[in-house]
Amino acid sequence: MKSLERGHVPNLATILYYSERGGLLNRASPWVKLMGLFLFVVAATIIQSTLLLLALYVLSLLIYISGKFPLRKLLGWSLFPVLFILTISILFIFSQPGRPIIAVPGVFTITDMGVLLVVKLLLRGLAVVNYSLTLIMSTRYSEISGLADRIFPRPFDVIFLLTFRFVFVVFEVLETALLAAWARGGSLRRGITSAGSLYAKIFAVGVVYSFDKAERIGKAMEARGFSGELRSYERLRSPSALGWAMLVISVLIVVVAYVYQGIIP
Amino acid sequence: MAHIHLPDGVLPITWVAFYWLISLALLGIVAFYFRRTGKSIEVKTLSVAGVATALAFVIFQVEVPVLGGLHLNFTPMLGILVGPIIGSVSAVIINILSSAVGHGGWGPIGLNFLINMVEIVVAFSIFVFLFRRRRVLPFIAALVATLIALTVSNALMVGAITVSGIQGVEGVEELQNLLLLALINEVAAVVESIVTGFLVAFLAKVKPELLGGSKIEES
Repeated sequence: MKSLERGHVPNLATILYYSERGGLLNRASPWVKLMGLFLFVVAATIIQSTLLLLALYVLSLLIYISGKFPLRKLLGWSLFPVLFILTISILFIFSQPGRPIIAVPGVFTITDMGVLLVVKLLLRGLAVVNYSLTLIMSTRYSEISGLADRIFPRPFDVIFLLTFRFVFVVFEVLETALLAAWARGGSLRRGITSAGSLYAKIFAVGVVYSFDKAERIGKAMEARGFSGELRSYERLRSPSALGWAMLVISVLIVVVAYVYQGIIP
Repeated sequence: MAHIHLPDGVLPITWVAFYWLISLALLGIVAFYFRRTGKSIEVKTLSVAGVATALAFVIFQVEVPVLGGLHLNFTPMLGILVGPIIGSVSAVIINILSSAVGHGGWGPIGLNFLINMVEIVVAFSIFVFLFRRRRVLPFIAALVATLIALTVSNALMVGAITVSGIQGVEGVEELQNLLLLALINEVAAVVESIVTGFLVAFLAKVKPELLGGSKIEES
């Protein structure tokens, strides 16, 4: 999937490749990993101390590295979240009150509090992104389907599981169409109408083909007795004693960090 | 992007919880609707919903080489293709998958979902009105529907962030900065509207039955 796999866009096929490998994180209970995600989100949202946020970010990075996942890919994949955060916050480095760091009189002034605000938002966002990617790269497809089956109501679970299945089919369809267009000089087309028209046609081919495929799959599933129920029989590992202990300790750390963050810069 | 996916840590925890509650209430209504009509949901509808959601997720990954590279949301197109009810299920699944790969946070899924829902409902309603009732050309109908949907969602995003506030921001200059962000998003919205217009015009020629929402919306 070379044409769709840009450095900054995570490819689900690559992610699933890592999820099917063995490893310490891959063997952990998916429930523990999911509750860990909840804790990461809460911690990244409620903690205000820069040092504690830095610690949270480093922790997320260490967890990612402990899964032996590629660090270079993570850097590429972080580009989008960084872009989102900077889009929202970059202008505040000029407008936040604080001590001037760089000032061009009459033009702009960058303050320490403005820079600190952007840094904090980056640490918050990226800590959760790192953990999210670790979670999905260490959880097998069957475990994800098991979680979806137990968490989502009907028909959300069915549509989620079908989506997860179809993503790869659609990826392949668009991949083929893009490569075919590029081989005929499509990658050289620029401008809103020219490139827009070409990509619209590629997407349209994807839409038509995918919907045809969906219809065929629907009929095939009905012929095999599918009536709208898609159950997962994956036995999800319950949290081990160590898993529970880690969760309890993590909750305590988040609570203590929140309560005593006033004394940490 | 025509709108950004808010990352974790931007909104205060109270607002994160507030948007989640509204979204869960909306999804609860949809789940109740499905439960009530559960037996009549066709297998075909389920597979179409799965494909439409996968399409929206995958198309978001493709970089369109316009203005230095844009990624489309495809949510207005999703509204045009499957309508608001299936669209709401698709929107929440897209947000979950996007958050899993780092495109948007888990906490702001509530707000991101509401913004997506506005895009889906507005695009669907305007497209159906223009294309089915007024017999406007599909390209124009889709372009107008997408542009209005993305403009409304853009305004909603700016409004929601202004009301909620950004963690750590002091002062009232927030709105001015967000308006600049909205302006940039609006340029991307124009590109997405043109691409959607071409896409719908193509579909109207080769597969017109796909346009105007699923059978669930019509019943």
